[in-house]
Amino acid sequence: MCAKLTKALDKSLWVFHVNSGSCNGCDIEILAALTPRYDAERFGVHLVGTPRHADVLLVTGPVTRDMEEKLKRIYEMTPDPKVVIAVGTCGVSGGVFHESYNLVGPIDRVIPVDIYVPGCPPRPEAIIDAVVKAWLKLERLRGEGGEQ
Amino acid sequence: MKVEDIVNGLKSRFECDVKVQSRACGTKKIEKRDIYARLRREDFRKAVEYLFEIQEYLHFSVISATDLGNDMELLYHFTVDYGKRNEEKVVTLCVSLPKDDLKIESITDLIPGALISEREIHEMVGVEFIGLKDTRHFFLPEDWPEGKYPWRRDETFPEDMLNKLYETWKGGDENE
Amino acid sequence: MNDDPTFIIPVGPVHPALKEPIQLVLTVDGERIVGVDVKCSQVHRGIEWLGMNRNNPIQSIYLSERVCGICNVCHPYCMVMAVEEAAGIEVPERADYIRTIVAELERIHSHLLWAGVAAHEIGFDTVFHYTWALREEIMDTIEYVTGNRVTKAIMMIGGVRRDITTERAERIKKATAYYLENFQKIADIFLHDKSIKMRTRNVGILTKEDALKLCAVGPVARASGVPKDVRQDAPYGAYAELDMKAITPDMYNGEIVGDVYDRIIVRLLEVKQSVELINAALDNMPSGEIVAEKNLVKLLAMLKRADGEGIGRVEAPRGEDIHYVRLEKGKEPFMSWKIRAPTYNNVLPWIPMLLGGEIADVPIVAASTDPCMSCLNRVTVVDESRNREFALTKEMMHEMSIRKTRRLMRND
Repeated sequence: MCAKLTKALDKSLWVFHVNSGSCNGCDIEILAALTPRYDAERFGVHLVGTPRHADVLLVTGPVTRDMEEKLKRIYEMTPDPKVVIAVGTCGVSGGVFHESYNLVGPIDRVIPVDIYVPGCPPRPEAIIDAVVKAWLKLERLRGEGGEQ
Repeated sequence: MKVEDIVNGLKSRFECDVKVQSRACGTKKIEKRDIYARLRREDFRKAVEYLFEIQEYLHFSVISATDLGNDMELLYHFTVDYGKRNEEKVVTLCVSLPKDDLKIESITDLIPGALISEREIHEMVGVEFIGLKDTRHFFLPEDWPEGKYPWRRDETFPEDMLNKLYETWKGGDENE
Repeated sequence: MNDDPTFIIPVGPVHPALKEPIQLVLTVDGERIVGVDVKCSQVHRGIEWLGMNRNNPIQSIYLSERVCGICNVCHPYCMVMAVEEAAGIEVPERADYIRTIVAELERIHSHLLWAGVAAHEIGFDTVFHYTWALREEIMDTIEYVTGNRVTKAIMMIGGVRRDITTERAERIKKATAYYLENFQKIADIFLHDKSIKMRTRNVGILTKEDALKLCAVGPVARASGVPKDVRQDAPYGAYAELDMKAITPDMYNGEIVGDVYDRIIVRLLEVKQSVELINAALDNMPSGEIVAEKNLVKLLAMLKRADGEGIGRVEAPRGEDIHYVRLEKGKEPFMSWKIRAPTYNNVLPWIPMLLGGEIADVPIVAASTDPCMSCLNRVTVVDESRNREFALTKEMMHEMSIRKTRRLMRND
């Protein structure tokens, strides 16, 4: 595990966060993960302001009708290889909002999802754990692509 | 102003049915009294103007809508006497509109803050506000089908747009 | 060729950490904002419809917690108050006190969260991290008292679901002592720091008249000199006994400007007020039952028989929250349910606040009404006269805001 992580740590991980109609509970926990108590930035996890710079997409919310096209566009704008993390129960399965007339989600109906983080909202530790998993997956994807 | 004075003021000016719902609130059992006035459509705007006599800047909270079958009831929630300890009262003006004639005068010229609420009721239940200039969608996407109203309990409800995720959950179990 | 010298800038809607994604369309002439329009359809999830059709009233409590992840006590609080009024359910006194304490814990968390975000918007990230580190104490307390960090799940129709036991009360006391100790530090940073003052004084002014006309609520209205607070005007829960008074900025420095700085004063003083309210409530809390009807099946049967309507009003961290509920006999879901969150009323006041301002001030002015306007993520500038379009990212916008802080520092 250690050896694997050291190899994976050759590059810091840039994360873009998309709110596809979430209640903001997950969003504040994502921010909490970056602030001093949890401090994900010490691992090189950095929140960026545009999907074009990102390796990982953190998607929250059950995807409302208005956000469907925007979410697809953001996914396309993110360079390969990329990993998508669905954060929160409503993004994973629709949660309490299932059956609503204004939902097209959950997220994996709109864009492919690699990692699911259930919880309403998930704890910051769970979000950091998901990002570490994304890291390992990203390494594998890079390996398959023939990159060093 | 006392609740009784508001009730009498409304009753003497308009043909209306006024209900005062009182409730002892909190640990000190301070009485909270909400006024519900059910008015005719033609009196509605005058009633709002009357409330302005009580409170210079009438505070408008929101419009609620209830589907009563053949009619649509709009409830305008206002508060008067705000900013004073234990004095604030909620005055709700209710107007029933027949579904084949969903029209009412806009109050945005009296209360600019009512704009969002009128736009919301316009898109959610299809009420036409006479005098409302901005009728674009606010909460629904711009490409929402015309004539479909999600808060109505009749054929105009967009049944086919429901995201019935539970159907896929069942399918998942069968596959396993 | 168009001679109009103005540009149109749509701001949003994709941005992280925003409670209610909102798109702002700004018309600008150079740096000056000359027109503002607001669009808001990204986060409509049809919650009212779900409560009116799919859910029974108890399920709707948990749905109303998900209206907003930050004010997840005031929405269920409001809803249960409306249902209790419609069905005529009496709440035990102890439950009233517990509700009040949890609502005030939430206010501290929300105002600190907002203070951090506001600091971030003017490019003061050190303060952002500092306030969020302070905020973790209240998150720990909330977790200890309710079992969850964010979604508290404590409200129930007719009372609350969990008691505040002696150990939990002690934990809360520890947190309030911590905040009283640290309050002066936060106040010094926010109220006396030169760069914060320069970026917030006389920026985004909302006059008292505009606040009244546009029906602004909460700290936004109070900062403009309207002493409106549901806790004071129509007390619910234990507030009547706690001698609650609405906070306006003149209590601190004797004047009301109605700018961003005044909104900071109001929120900071409210943090202190919440701490005092919690301490007083813990000392006066009576013993007894915490819920009117423990058996949920009986409660549901009672609600199904009920016939009536009710209005619940709660002062959320951002202002007056109001729910209207109508119950019909023989029908389990609500006959009618309307939610009005405070931001709903505080969106229109953005227009007078932003008009005449600079683009670099948009983040802090928008954030001053609403704690989570942290990321105006993607901004496209349409240059109408040249028929050209270029993207201005949230980073560039943020950068412009930071540059303005530096420029002001140099000129001073």
